[in-house]
Amino acid sequence: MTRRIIFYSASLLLILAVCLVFSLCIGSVPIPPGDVIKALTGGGNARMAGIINEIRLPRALFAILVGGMLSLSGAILQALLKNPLVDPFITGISSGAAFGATCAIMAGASGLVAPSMAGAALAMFIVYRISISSKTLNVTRLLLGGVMMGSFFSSLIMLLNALFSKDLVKVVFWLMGDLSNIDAGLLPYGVAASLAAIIAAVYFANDLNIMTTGEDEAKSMGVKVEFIKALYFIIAGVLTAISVALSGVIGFVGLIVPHVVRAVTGPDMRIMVPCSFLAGALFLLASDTIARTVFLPSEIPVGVITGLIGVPVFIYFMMKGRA
Amino acid sequence: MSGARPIKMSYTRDQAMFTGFSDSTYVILPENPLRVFKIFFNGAVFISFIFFAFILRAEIITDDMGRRVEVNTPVESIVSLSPADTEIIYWLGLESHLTAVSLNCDYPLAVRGLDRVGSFLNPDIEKIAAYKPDVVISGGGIQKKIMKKLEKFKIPVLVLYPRDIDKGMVKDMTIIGGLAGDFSNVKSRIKEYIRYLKDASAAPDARQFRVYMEIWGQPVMAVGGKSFINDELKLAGGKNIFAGSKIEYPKISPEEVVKLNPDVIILLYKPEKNFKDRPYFKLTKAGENNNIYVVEDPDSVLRAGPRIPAGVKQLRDILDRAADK
Repeated sequence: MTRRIIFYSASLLLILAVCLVFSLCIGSVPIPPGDVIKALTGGGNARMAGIINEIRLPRALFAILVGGMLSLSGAILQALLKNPLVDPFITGISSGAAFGATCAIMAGASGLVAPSMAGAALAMFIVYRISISSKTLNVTRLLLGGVMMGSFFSSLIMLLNALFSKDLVKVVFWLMGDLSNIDAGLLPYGVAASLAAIIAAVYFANDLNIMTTGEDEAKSMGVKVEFIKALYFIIAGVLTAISVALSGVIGFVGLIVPHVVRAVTGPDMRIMVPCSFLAGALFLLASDTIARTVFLPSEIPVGVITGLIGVPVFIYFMMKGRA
Repeated sequence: MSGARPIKMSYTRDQAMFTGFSDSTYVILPENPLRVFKIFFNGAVFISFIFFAFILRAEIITDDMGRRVEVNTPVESIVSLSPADTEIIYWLGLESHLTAVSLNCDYPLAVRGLDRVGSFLNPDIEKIAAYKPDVVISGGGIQKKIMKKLEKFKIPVLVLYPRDIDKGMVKDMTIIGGLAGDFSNVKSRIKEYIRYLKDASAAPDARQFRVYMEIWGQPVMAVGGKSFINDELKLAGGKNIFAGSKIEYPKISPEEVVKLNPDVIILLYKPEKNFKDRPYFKLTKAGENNNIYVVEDPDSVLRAGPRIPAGVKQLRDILDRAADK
């Protein structure tokens, strides 16, 4: 088992590294791979080094981070809720974040990360609270509650837009998800949160595996079912909240990537956790590279690309009958 | 003669264009004791009235979408749905004809007391219809859809959004000024606008900076060549690095800014605290020389209304500060 985890993870890491170097080479100013390596190691032309180290690298790392977080969150929620249609945004957390960001935009604030985190936390708390019935976390309620809270926050956003329509365009663009103007200073926090989430998720992965057979069976095998459910919901929620706060709502990653990974590795969460993170990272890095380079000097929203590439890939795997 | 005193109502050529008169008209006030004359003159007045009413009812105005709109002039009540058009109405001194405005109309301050008929993007059609205005003035872009709904209520809608700040603006000011049928003030106000615009402009021999103007940062959106803001910058003595873009406000790749390497960066919105540290700012000449500025009053730049000269002045002051460095 350990060998399989290492094999899949290492292969994905290798592909990710190649993709990263390629991504750093292309853009408004094409830079050959040799110069990219030079810039990364602190040498070369100052201007090129600036473009690589201050613009392209942080953005690529953000794509890796956000893609990984969304995909991992999706993989966890699909296993936890035993529903293949679930994606991170079904928990209502993204709508909560969007509501926070909308309020901030309307109020004329410019930093959107903190308000959207606050909105996400609020949504997560409410969904969690309404999902508890007779001291157990009811996953069906979690799903329904998430959808309901999502709709509720979306309605609030629409209400705000109807009342204060001046900033509608800004809100719409934020909702589309975007990595063009990121704050590189937030990167370390994102990395720390992701690492903590991965470690926790891998550590308890076997318990989650057992729980897919049914809660009663899992209980009889000594799994602390309530703890596991709460833990994984919080992990998935925090990952979603951070990624949405950093980059807006980027669709399809958290839905499609876990399915494709599962088709290759099987449903074992011990492999699924690291692999869905890496595959999501790879997928969003590739999508964002396409989004920012194909129509230069313009950019297109990355969500457009994740949908255009992700959906055909997903359908291919589904037709092969493995997803 | 003690009786009939012909009063000549003369029209200049410009006014004639908008009122439909092709020649001067005489309205004669009868004071003559002779009945026959009285009847004759009453008849003349009556006929003039019919003539007046007929001509004016049939006034056709071509708006900025190229639509030919029939408006009964002189109008008594106007509903304006666009903040820029509201400002133009006040500028021309026609506010007594303004019945209601949109929630977004916030300038000049006097506008606060007026009734509101929904927002710019989401006007309250029923409320507008209830006012039975003689004409509704709407802006461009997303607002264009509204006119179809209002036309069902037989309310004429003029879509007015100047696409450039001199000829287009004068055309729209003239259209709005013509609605009330009183030109005494309008002409001088238009001239005043043009004069202010000239005063705000940079000297032709001023240094031409290459400027990047950002209208929003999340995502990064620039001012393109088709926008009237591009013209404002031109008058202020700057050269827009995205003048070649065929989109008004293109969503651009931040790297493109580094590549085009502007001398000055101007933000048209309130940015985050440490906005000067954005990498794609720092890596330009503007970043190296600390020539990154935020306009103090974005509305005067962003609204195609009478405050454009103030907007141009703001841009010019910024460029002057850059030149002094």
